[in-house]
Amino acid sequence: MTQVSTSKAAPPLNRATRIWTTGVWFLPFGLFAVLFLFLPSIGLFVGSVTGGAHGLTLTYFGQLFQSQYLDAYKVSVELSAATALIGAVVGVVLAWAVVGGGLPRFLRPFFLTFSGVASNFAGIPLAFAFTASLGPVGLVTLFLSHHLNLNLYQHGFSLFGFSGLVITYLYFQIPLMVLLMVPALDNMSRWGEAAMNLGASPWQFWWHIGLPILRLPLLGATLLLFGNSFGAYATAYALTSGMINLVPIVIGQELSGNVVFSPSLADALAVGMVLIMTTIFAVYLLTNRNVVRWQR
Amino acid sequence: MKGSRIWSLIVGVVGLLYFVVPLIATAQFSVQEGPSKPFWAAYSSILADPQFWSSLRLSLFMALSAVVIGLVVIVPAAYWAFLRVPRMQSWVEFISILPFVVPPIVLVLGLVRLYGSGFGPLSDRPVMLMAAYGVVSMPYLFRSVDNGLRSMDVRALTEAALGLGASWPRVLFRVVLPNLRTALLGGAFLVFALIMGEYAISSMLGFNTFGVYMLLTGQTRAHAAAALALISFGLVWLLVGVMQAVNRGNVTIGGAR
Amino acid sequence: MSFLDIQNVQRHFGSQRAVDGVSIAVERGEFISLLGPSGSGKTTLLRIVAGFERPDSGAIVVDGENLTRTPPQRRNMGMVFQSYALFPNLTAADNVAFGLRTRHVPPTKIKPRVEELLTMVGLGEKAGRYPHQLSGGEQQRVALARALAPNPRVLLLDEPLSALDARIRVTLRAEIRRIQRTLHITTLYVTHDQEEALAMSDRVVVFNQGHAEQIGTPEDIYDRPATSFVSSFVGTTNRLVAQVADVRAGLCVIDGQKVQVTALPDGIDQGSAVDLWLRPERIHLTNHKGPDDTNQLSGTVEDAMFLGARTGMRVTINGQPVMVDVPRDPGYPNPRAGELVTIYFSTNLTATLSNAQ
Repeated sequence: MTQVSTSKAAPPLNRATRIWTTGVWFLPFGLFAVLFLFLPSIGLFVGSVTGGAHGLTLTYFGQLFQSQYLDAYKVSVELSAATALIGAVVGVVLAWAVVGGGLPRFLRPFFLTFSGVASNFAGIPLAFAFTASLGPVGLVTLFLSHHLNLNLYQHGFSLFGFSGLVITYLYFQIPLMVLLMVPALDNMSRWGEAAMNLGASPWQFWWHIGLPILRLPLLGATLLLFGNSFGAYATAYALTSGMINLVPIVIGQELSGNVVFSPSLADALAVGMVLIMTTIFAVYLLTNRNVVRWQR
Repeated sequence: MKGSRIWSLIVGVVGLLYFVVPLIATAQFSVQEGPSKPFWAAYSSILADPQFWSSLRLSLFMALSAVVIGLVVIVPAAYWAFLRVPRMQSWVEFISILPFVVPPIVLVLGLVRLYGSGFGPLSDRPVMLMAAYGVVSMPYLFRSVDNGLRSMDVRALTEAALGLGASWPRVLFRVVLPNLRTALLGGAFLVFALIMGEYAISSMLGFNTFGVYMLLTGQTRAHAAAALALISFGLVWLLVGVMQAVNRGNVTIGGAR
Repeated sequence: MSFLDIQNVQRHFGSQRAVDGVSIAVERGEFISLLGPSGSGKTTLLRIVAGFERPDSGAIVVDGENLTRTPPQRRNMGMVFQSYALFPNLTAADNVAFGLRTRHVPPTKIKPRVEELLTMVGLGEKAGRYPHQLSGGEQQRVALARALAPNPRVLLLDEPLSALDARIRVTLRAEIRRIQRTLHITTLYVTHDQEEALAMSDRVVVFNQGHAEQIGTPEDIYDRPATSFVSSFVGTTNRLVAQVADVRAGLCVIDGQKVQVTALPDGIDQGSAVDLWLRPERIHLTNHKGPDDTNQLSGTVEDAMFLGARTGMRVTINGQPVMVDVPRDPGYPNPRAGELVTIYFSTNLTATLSNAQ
């Protein structure tokens, strides 16, 4: 560290003063994070291993493996995995269409802005929009049954179940993937040209250069998509009126007092979510570190 | 080359349909309040609803306080780490993006459990809502503060200001913040977009925010709900559009899921 | 017939003419620089030669073979990109080997070839490093080795040194030229740095707004610029407006003072204005106006600057500013501002071009 030299020519600070000055700048940040992020999280953990007459106990974590709660995790993970994987594949294809020069140039900024908007358009209004399109009397549902004689709801589809949630979540997952991948794909074109210049076929390029370079960004982006849908509450709640067995919905039921079960169990459910999210996030950070090293 | 162009076009058109059709359907639904009513009936009923305005005001106020809280908390720490304590930089960053791993529903559960009662001002519901929104917006605000600090020569500016005899508050308010302005604006607009539609936290804490108002409307008035969805989409478009114009090409995730 | 023939190439982007009818005939083994400001079309032309862009009209012919419609994969041209575009997932050696592998060169031949090239660019012992473990200059060398590995017919370099700092630039440009001479490879080199272009090239093509203003040896370009753009873009130049006094004798006047030039632009009339282009270092100071005072102009010193070995001066002659750059003589004091001086220059060191206005 270079010492800041000022016209005031302050004498070198002693250690105590330096720590104190530094503390003042970090204090609001640290205090806020501790009070509203760390303590509540720790509180949940403490609540999940104590509570009731049990004293220190793993009872509630054990209860997570009861079918009802295990199922909630299973559905949550499946929903997140499905929307992350489909969103990732479709998003990459769409991003490549935008970047690869297949689409007219003037469409690019439009697509990117739209992706920015759509990836932030979620929750209650998104649920409404899909009800108006794919609900029992939605525009698309009616169109299909009138013109193509295809009645979605007679074929077991319901917007208010798992498949409906997947379709709806994709509305923000795909654009997010587009936004995450466009910068990485933009970089591909220069490597693509270099490979062409060296006589590589498109296949050779993608196999030896393109995919190895994209592997980590793809993984990282897919993980982000997973996390993005794993914690989602409002969209699922609005679409299914809280009737789907997802972990956030179950927690919400306890918290709002609609369904009463043990508070400690809700805490354990929440801690489980944080653990899964932390794992996802840690893997993401690890992949991202290597990506940053490459993208220069 | 020709083949791939056609494929790109097909992909583009299908993608476009998937993203535009729900909006068209919503728009169409919102103007069919009833055969005897004019097509703007749903919109006029919303605009005439005092609840609409009060919930919008509440959400706007909450978004503004989240931005203010976030900045008060993040700017000094990020600035000082950048200027004097580089090894703290990655910590500030890490803690700032940590809220990603705590879903809103978990955050609000944790806050209610810990401060639900008997913690003085911390147990006030408005304080809890503001704090939760502040936490939720930390990652976005940190990104923009960090980008802003990186894009200007903070050290030189600070040293120049100190050399000219400025006090620390003066350096912060007259030199650093004005130069961060555009970068901060981008993050702030994203936080607005995020909090305008937020539902999980405010409904659990019992507030009639814009998101909660939308859900309640949907339970009783379907056409008005469609109109609201469209208004909300326009609002997000406006905020994100401004955000992208301000700091272009910044990938961010957000939204009230 | 020349080895690489760029024939009347045109390329438009919308209404903008990126390359507007450029023809260059490059001899085998020749090093040609495409020099021009950014946006002048030189990079677009290089990309057309490499095959990344299609020309709207015109042709690219190499060794009698028309490549205009050939995809870049089959042109066998080595390109060094401005950003290097090294494959980040491959080591330096694998980067160099890539072009050999795509051509299905047997592995036993690839290894010695890669070693040979990496040694040639001075990176023999860094073969196993990844691009991000190499410095900018080293990445540049790998990029050069990679482009040269498949024995390309033509070497294309797109501002290869622009991302490096000044000292490495000077070393590397000498090295590129040495390698190019050794391999006797036909080379197109895009740059916006005139010093680089003049120092390295057999011939220089000066680009402006999509067309070639002048094609010539560095000496031609510097001493006998064909257009006012060339003379102002390459090097520092003074422009002096003069009136033609005698067309046949090549005599002009500036404020009643006579200037003899070697040649006047064609079709110029007596009394019309011409531009004299005069390099600062070609001007001398003189103390005595001789009886034959041709090419001697009197003016006032506005400003004199100490430049170490030389003195830089600004002199006004009849209201026209002239930069003068003379060797400093410690025996004599520098002329001071306000002093009257006489400058003179040799007749064959001026370039005369018709006045634009």
